[in-house]
Amino acid sequence: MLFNSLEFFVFLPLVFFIYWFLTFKSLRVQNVFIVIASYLFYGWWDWRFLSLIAISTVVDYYIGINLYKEKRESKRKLLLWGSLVINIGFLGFFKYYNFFAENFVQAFSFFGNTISSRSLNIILPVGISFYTFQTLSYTIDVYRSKLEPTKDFIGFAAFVAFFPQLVAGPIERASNLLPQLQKRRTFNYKQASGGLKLITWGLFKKVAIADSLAPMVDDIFSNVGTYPSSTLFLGVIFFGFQIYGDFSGYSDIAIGTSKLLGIELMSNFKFPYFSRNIAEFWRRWHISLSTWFRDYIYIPLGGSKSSLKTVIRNILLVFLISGFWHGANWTFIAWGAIHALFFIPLLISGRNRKFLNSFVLMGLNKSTLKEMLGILTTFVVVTLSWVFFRAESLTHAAHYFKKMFFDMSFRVYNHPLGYRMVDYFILLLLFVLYEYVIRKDERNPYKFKSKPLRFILYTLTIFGTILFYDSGVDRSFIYFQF
Amino acid sequence: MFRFIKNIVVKGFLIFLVLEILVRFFHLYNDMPDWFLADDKTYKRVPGQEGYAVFGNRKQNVSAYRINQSGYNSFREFNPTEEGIEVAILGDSFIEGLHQDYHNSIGKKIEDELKHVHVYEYGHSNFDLADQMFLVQANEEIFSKIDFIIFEFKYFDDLLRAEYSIENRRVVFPLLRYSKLLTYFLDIGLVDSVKKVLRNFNIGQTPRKVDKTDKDSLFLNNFKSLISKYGIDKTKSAFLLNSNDTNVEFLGFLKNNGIPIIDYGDGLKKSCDSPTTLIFDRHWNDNGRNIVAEAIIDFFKRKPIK
Repeated sequence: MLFNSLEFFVFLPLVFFIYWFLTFKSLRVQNVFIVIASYLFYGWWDWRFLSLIAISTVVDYYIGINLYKEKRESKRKLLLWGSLVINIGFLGFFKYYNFFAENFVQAFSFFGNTISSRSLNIILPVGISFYTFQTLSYTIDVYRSKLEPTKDFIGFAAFVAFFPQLVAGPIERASNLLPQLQKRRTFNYKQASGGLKLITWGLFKKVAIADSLAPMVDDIFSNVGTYPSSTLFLGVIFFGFQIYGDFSGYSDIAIGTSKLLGIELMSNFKFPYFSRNIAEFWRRWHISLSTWFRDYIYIPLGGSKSSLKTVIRNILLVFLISGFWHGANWTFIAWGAIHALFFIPLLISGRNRKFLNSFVLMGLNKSTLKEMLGILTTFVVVTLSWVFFRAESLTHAAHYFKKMFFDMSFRVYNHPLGYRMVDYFILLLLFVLYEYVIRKDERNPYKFKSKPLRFILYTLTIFGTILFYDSGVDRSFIYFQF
Repeated sequence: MFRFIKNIVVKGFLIFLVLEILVRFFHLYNDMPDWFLADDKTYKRVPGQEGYAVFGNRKQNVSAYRINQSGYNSFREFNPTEEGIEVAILGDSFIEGLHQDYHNSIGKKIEDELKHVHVYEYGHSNFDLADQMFLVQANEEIFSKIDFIIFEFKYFDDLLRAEYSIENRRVVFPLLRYSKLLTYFLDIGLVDSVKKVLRNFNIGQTPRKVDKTDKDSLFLNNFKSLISKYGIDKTKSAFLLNSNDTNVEFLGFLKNNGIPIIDYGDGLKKSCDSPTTLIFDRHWNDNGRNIVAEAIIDFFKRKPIK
């Protein structure tokens, strides 16, 4: 079920009313209902893959309990490995089997040997990378004794399958989500209305920004050879906005939906395109994933407390794995490598912790121009790296770059569906300006004192959403494929 | 909780009202002239309407229309005389031309080239060949004064019926259409999944369908049935079609029986560099309409009307 579908607009109010009117008296009933709603939500797409979620739930629940009971380190390690093998095994098989099989064959043929391999027609279960990482975080935290395992199976099942963030995050930590699911939720007006506002804003980002740009991005990336460099630049800039609107829109709807159910999820995006360097970008983009990698890969590898050489190796490794997490394709690995390439100099010069917890462009002063330059440079780097993220293959990406930089020409681009292009330029300009205005609080896009102004903004957001809605566009979320 | 629900209802209603005003103010909803079932038992547009037809999301297509006293979108009234030379073009929305300014219709393009001819465009959305042939029969007196009749049809869409009968037209969700915002929602496909569900319960409009596997023989039989039922004067009629989309045996039948055709297929094919249809819609754009008009002009240059 998609957040931006009519089914969800029937599903959500139903869930909301049953949750607050029928199940509110008992924690257990609340959680049973969350599990049922979540399985229905996921099963709407393909009920067969519910079994994977169920297996992960059962395995990690019992491994968690046994990890806590077991005092022998060798046995505890064995249990941890059991969880890793099962969870990563599912992920590896469904997501990476074909990639490894194909590359294995290619590597052999490169050395003159021919081996036969069978590509399997595997359907990638939606959200497998997200819920796998979420359950892994639970087991690892229990193993590290940072978290006590839960004995409430239903609560744990609700944690694994919690539908607002099940298929595309934010990847929640057990330490944040589980305690909330183990307390009976009571209705909170402020929280619920905040949730509705986030859903409205998230829908705007998904429908008006991401979906409306999608046909142009698809058209430009599919016809690289026929377009001049000016159009290719436009295509990658549009993709930058598309992926941001798509993913941050999803996160906002997920966080907003959870708020409606009395649950607070972590923030996933903090206006990343206002970042002043790549390090700041990664503190603002897909925060739940980057912090996951920090806590479960970077720090165990030694973090930044080792020698510079080791730290650089760790950073490189984290970015490469992060790229590979996104998809079984060399393009994603290249994308991760580029980000590492721009991150490492900041690390060496000690500037990677700069701009920690500070707001960008807080008035006109000496640093304004410098900040703007930083934002622009970061945007250019991030945007250009999106070529790898969006391209079908490395050859496709190389062709795109070649045409973009070595075949300089300009031609007016016309929308493939016949819409006026000026509408999109105005839309993006207004969007960037509005994001700048609200940049201090990603969880409250309508934080204005004036009630009439807030009302006008709600209305304009909904107006923009319906104005740019197009039923012909593929409305699924980009990150579902990861 | 009560406060929350009350706020949603009140604010939701206020937002609905403001959006309704915005949609009306910017005329975003799809708009077409009204239709009615006329005394001759064919559908026509309500005469005397003038305005702008709006199609597509965010007013992708806005074009002026003028419904004449005969109930068709045209820059001229249809008053055939014995003295003048009049050509009637019958067809569906492609001829009705609500996707274009009525001053720039196919008929106008023909008149600009063939100065002495008046072109009457009897186009109405969804008209198939049965509608067209019945219209001629039902208005025999008028059409007898017209010097040449062109029937426009698309092979795959317009030969689904062997005889004319009034097809009941239903306005989908008539009550909702009082609100232009809801009309806009319907038009942009926001509630397509609801429509799909309702169709299962036989609510709403269902498209015409052919169930038979042998479509070509069905179409040919329907055509034979139509011409035998409504008759055709081969000396003053022709069929406007795209030969590239039409079955070869069907074309052979027309040729063998001396039924004239005006083929715009080659013209469309030659224009592969520039599109012939609107981008968001399969209707002809100005280039496409030029090609069709040229095919008709060329036909009359070769066979002048006496």
